Amino acid sequence: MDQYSRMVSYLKVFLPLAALALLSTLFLISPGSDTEAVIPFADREIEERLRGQQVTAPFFSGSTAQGDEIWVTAEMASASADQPVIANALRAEIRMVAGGQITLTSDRGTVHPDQDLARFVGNVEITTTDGMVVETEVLKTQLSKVHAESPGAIRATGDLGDLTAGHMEISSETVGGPVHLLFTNSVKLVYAPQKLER
Amino acid sequence: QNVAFGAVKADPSLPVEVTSDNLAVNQADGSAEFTGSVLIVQGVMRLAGDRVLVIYKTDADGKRAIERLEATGNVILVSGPDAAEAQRAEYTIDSGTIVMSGNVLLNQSAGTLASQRMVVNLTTGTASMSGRVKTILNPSSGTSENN
Repeated sequence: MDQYSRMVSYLKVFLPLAALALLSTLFLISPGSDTEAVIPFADREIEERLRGQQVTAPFFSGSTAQGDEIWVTAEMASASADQPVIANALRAEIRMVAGGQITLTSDRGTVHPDQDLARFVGNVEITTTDGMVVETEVLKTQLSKVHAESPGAIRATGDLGDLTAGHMEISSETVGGPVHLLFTNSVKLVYAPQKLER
Repeated sequence: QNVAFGAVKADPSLPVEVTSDNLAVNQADGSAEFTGSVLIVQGVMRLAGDRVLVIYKTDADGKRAIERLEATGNVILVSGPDAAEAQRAEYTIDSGTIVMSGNVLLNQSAGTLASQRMVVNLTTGTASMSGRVKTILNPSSGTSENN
């Protein structure tokens, strides 16, 4: 056997051994990884989450037969067996086919999909297309068509001036017609004409 | 036919107060209409009617303000001792003028005047009537008011 083939036979044995040694260092010398990563939840929060189903930042959107779009979002919504869905920091937007947009925000709200109803409770604010802001305590809106009603008194400010009324309803009289804000039960408006530039 | 109207010179920049049974604000074009025994009060001036439509104007900087109020349906205007009735009245707030039309009846202590159209200027306290003016004098008042 000449010198070359002897060298090859040695290498045939030596190289795999070297590879094996290199490979073993990978596992023996490497720093141990800590497996118990700390989950960032307090125990109380976990129990609270377990008690009822909870959805963070829920998003509900639907459109009416005429094509008006309704978006409802909230910070957190929780549902339990017997009660309807309770959500807080509720915000709804209605984009109307006939043009214009109404936004509603409130502190809390409940959504009753079975009765096709969402109730906004706690300083409800309604901003309409022409920039009028209506404040009330409770507002009930239908989910399947553009119809909302505030049983209690309302205060509104806008280009029209400051308005108070005992009852307000948002609806479109004719199907697909323009949406109207109907204020009833002793409407009172105070309009201060801007100071005329002399 | 010019006649004095209203005891005191009304100031058009006083706040205008509108009370009614209901109000409908149309979301598509933003028009607003008061219905159901509407009463507009500004200072001593009172304008009552069945329906009042609000007409807007947009200023240069895009801010909307009320240009005029159109009252229709047995309109009654009272200012100080004088009262006027008509079918329609248009009250332009900034200029303080009310244009009443449709068999206008103006009754004052001196007598009653009837005509088709009357323009009342609240700031100057004058009213000018036109279109078939008919004057009915109360002889008892003593002051004779001729055309």
